[in-house]
Amino acid sequence: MKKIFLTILLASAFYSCDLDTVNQAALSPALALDNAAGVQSTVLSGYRRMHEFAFYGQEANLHGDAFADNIEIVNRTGRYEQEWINGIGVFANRWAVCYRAILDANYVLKYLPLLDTVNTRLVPKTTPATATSFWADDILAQLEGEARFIRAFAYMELLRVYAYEPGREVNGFNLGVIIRDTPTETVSDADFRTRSTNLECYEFVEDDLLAATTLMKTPAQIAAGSWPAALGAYNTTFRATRATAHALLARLYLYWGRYADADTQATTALTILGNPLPVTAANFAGSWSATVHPESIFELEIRPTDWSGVSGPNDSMHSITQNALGGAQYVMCASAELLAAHEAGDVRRNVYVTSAATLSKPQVRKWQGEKGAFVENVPVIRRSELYLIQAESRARTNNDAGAQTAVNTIRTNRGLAATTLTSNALIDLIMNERRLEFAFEGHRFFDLKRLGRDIPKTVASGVNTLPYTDFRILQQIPPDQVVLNSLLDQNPGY
Amino acid sequence: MRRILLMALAVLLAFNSWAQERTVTGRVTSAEDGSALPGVNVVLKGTTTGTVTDVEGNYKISVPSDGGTLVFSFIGLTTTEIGIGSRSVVDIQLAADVTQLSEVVVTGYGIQDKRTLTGSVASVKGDVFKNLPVQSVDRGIQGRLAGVQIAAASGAPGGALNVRVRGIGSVNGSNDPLWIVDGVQLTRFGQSTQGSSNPLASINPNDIENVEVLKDASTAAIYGAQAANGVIVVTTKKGKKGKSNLEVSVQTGAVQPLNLYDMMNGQQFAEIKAEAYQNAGLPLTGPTGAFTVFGDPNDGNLTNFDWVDAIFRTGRLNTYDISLSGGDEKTSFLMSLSYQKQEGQIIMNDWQRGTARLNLTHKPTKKLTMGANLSIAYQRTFGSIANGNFVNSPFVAAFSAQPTSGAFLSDGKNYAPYPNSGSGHLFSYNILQGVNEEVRLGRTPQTVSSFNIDYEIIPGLNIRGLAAVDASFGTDNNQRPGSIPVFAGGQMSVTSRRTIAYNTNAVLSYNKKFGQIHSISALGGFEYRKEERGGVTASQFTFPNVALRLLTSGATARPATEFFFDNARQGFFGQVKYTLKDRYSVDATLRRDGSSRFGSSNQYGTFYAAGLGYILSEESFMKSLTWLDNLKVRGSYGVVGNSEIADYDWFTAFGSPAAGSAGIPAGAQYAGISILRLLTLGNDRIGWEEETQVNAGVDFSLFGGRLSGSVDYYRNTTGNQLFNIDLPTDSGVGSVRGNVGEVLNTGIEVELSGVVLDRSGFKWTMNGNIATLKNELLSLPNNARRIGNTLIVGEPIQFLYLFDFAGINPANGKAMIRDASGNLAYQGLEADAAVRGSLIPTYFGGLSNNFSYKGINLEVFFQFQGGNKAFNSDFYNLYDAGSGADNQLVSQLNRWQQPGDITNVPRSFQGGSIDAQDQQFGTFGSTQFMSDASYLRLKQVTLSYNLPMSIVSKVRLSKINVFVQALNLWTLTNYAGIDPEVVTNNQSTGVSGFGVYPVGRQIMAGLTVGF
Repeated sequence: MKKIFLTILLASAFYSCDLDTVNQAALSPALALDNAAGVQSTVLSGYRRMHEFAFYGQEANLHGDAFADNIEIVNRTGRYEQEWINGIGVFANRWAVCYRAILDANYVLKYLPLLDTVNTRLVPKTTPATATSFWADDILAQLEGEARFIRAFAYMELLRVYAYEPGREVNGFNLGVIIRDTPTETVSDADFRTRSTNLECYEFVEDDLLAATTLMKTPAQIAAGSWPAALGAYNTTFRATRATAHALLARLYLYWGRYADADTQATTALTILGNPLPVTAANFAGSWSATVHPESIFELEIRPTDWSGVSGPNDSMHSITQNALGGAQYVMCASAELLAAHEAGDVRRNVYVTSAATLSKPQVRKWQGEKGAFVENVPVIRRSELYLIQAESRARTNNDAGAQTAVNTIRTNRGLAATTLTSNALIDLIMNERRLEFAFEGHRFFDLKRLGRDIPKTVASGVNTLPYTDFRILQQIPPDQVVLNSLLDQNPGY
Repeated sequence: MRRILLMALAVLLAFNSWAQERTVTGRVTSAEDGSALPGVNVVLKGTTTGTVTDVEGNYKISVPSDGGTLVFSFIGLTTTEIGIGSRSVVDIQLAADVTQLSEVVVTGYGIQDKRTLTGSVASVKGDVFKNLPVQSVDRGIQGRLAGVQIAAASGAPGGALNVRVRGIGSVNGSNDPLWIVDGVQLTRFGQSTQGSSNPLASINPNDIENVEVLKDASTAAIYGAQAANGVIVVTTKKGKKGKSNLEVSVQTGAVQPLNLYDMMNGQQFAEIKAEAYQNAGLPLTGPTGAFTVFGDPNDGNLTNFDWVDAIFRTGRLNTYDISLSGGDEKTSFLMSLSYQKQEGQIIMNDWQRGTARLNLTHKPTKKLTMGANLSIAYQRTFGSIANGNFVNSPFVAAFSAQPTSGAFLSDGKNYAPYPNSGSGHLFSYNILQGVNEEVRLGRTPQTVSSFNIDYEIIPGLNIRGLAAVDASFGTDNNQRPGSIPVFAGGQMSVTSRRTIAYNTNAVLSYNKKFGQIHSISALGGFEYRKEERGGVTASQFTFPNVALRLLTSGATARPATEFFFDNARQGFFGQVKYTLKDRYSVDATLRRDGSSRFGSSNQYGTFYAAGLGYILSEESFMKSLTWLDNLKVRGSYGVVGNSEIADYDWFTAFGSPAAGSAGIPAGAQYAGISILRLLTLGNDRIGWEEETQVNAGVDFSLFGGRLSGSVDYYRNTTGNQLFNIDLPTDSGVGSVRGNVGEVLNTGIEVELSGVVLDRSGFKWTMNGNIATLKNELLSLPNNARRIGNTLIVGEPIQFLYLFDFAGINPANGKAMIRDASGNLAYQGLEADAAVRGSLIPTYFGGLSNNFSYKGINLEVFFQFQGGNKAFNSDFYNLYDAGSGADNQLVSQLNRWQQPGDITNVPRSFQGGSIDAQDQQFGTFGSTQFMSDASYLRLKQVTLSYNLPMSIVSKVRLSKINVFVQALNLWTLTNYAGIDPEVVTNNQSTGVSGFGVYPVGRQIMAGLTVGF
């Protein structure tokens, strides 16, 4: 009896005494990224960051309009009211979300070159070749190109929000943002750094995009090629391609004021894409309720699974701009000034609908929640942008005829007559085309800023034109970051 | 002379052959609580005639017809003599023998003699909170223990509390003490998330015998790595030898909301809205005019709906308890059953619990004792959304919903779209409909059980083993029905979670007294603990009918998510204590602990303590001080640890982000392919948080126990803080765990209890405690002076960082602050904000008064804390001069209207930004919404009556007690808000929470019957 109890006693106390536990939800980076599928998943994480709320999930589509003169607040809920009157501290989250996407890209760019092209379970070079085969190194090149595209995209967002474009500095303030090109793997990697100059940053982005244009294949090549089924389907609208890299490079040069290069890149992108005319005037309004916008070169895909039950009413573009669904917020509508900028017959005017149901305000119908329950994709680069980059670049390099051709491609597909304007009048017309074409897509403020223009404000906002020399043209770097990192210079005036 | 003669006569008579005997009966009860005292020796003085009281304290003894003197004695109680005289009934109350103080304290793995204890222990007997309408023991001991600050984190029934022993030592780790119930180390996890819930709520407080808080290193170091936040040892009731004792208790009552906000009615709201529109140059009429959206204040038919009245209520409370206990020479048992249902102050919100317990002890042989303490509990809660600025939280929306927009259509039954203007306020969510129709159901069965075995190898040397488990298997059902427009089609999710924590230990102990001089006690042991928790959430959208709630009925598939965490801990420990002449004590404790939460290089830590005690009153030179019963000085020093961080923080984790993390509300995919990213930046060099604890104290008892108490000084320095070290976000990572920084908590605790009056059956006793607390951040990583605006060396670790509100400019009605250089300004910059107050109370305690007279007992208990400030975030919505769409406090009618108005409410201005200046100072809050959160609360009043035995025995019962009691009856505070107790919920964010669930006032009546 005695012995039995003692045995039980000791056995129970010493049973299974170890400190081994396993985090079943995670792997070390080296293990997670030792195969092509793992690397691809990290690339895709970068795209996923882009449609977070503080980025293209909502704010990046609206800040550019709210900061300028395209919107009016319908309902005072606190949202976008500070943006509307150019208050300070409203971009608080953009800084961090961009750098999180950059971190994803940096992990990819570090671990991808370490992959053994033979042992990645992809198609190795020894297989009999066809013209369209994706060899293992083609696949890795494609993934590297995507990572460089994501990194460039995030840096361009940081630069337009927090820095002056090169050559447009006020009082010589030429700082860009902090450059990181390696992943944060240990605490010491997260060192304090200073901001590079805007020019250094632009060159860094240019390098990435130039590399991306050669690393990646065209949409046609991808469609015809044998992208391995093991990696899942490669959607050439939701993921970058060679054409997307050229398009983003065109946008970079446009901001940089390198108009000839911008024209070349836009033209190259359009050539790769084949014969990609914009949607016609008859289809324009309807194009906004297509699941994938017909003009999209790069579109962020959002699926219902990406959202919780209240993400739609809380965070969606549809909720903030319309009151068609129960629970919608309907905070903003088009400003009177934006409506007035349309010529008669312009089909783009038709996306603004005024009725009793819209509280007699011109409600924008670009964000239709067409995938159900507020869900829709976010078009980020549309074909029309390439034509307008061509047009603006040519006009600014004294090629009025070329500019007219490009801008008229847009105008004739928007219910307007072809223009014959020239020189400054033509440039003004093109800038107005950009305003109308990209309203509620986040371009307006940044198009004015990159040219050093003052920012007009609406009468309804009650605030005056924001001079280009005002400190609020550049946004505040998150104050906690400046306190934490003494090497990080705050933008002037904050 | 006459007395001598009488005595002589008496002696004579005693020996006289015609001496007659008669019988005296009586009942012996405890002076402390009036309970029956069984087993008391009753002896007729000078004779061998004697008896022992029965289980109800009754005795019967033959005495000479002329009486004599009875001597009542019992271990631990003062031996009392009483003359019989001519009485035939002699009832007596026996008091504790304060000079012996032979109480024992359950300190960790053994028990210690309280008399020679070198450390600091605060204890409460279960009787103190017996039959209180509280759902968990932490609420029952609030204010009763010196140095233990307890505040509700939520007033929800069954809701959470924050328990802090001697301050807040950890900046980023948990500050919760280690709770041990009958040897079971409770887990902090496993509760329902459908409302505020409490890890202790599976234990019926009425099952608890006593609660002991081990406050210093000398008592707690035996728990080593888990002891830094204090250890609370809960012991449940056990059966006693003797007749079986059945007790039944029922009570019923109500809970009412306290001190709700005074909101505007429809007319007032429409008036201030019209003014806000006019001031902003916006139209009153037309489709977007103020009258259209908010109504015309002059309209006699203006809707005036009282949302607060529709949503808050007086809730009912019912509890039922049955316990049966008893035992014989070999076996003792206690069985108890309880059921409690408490409704919340919010409609639909309620909490129910059933518990069952069996505590059993059996001695199969003389040397072997086996025991089991088994409990099962089932909690069912229908939760209420609180603690956040959520449009579907009644604590936000009931106040901010517009009175000019009613909840119902004109038929008075069907819910109206909210608001009726279509302006989208509160996301068009009708809060009354939401509270009534959303389902937030949590169901959690849980067991907290242990088995123990004790074998006496030789006298004094015992080996004990324990196996203990805390396991729960909860299910949460959350329905957002399709009847609410925003949830078109309906949404349903089910979370199923399991949490299992078990611990086993084996302890060898030795106790021996050599002669009358040396006594030694020693113990050594080993312990292992493992905690595992996992769960799955599945959901579906689009249901054919709101009443179909199984996921099976949903048409739209949603991603399922799963989580799993585990951690393990093991340790060896030993303790030695030596006492010389019952006077000088010295002890030492050592424990070595390992935890899976740290990387292999730092997995183990060593913790230790030493203590000294000296009972001065035993010295011969003190014996002459007859008023001094007991005087002891003691001191201790030690180092204990804390490892309450996430389970895998040391590990650099790359994986698919979990639902709920940044930007990932649900599925971790892009373009149909799963995603991978860095989840946590690990640090494999992290190790234990170490707290150095110094304690010095005095215990005393004076005037035959009339006044007793203790005073302690403590100084705890928590170093190697398990800190979330902020990293620059441009690294893509927000923070990493590291061991840096030091926090100091120091203070003085005083406990006093005394008998104020004890005359002719009337007794008034007072028990009080007060503790001071100074909390200070001593150092930070890299010798930094501050981390952003959240931690500053030299300040407490939780403070309010705000602008200094300077009132409303009488000239134009704009809100002002005082900037860093003391000038008035309309907008603040970073440098203008500063620390304006601490969230940590600097003193707290409680005061209890007990009045008893002939079976009537009245307890009046006050609880208080103070020196802390609170910031009321609700004011962002409600104190806004009518600038937004939210309903406003009536006080907002005092808004500035014309030059010269002196007021604290700014000009009403639609949008709230006048000349691009936010009237609530956007970046930081201002002291405008800050107030002193000190309070004194009449926490408890209990009036009870024990019916006299003469009546009770006629109905063949052993006890009838009737009582009425009230909790939170009255509060004295300057706090600007609903409840100064529930302000600490969002401490980590630096401001008090939005929409907290305040505590309510409970009023109860009940009856306890003993069979």
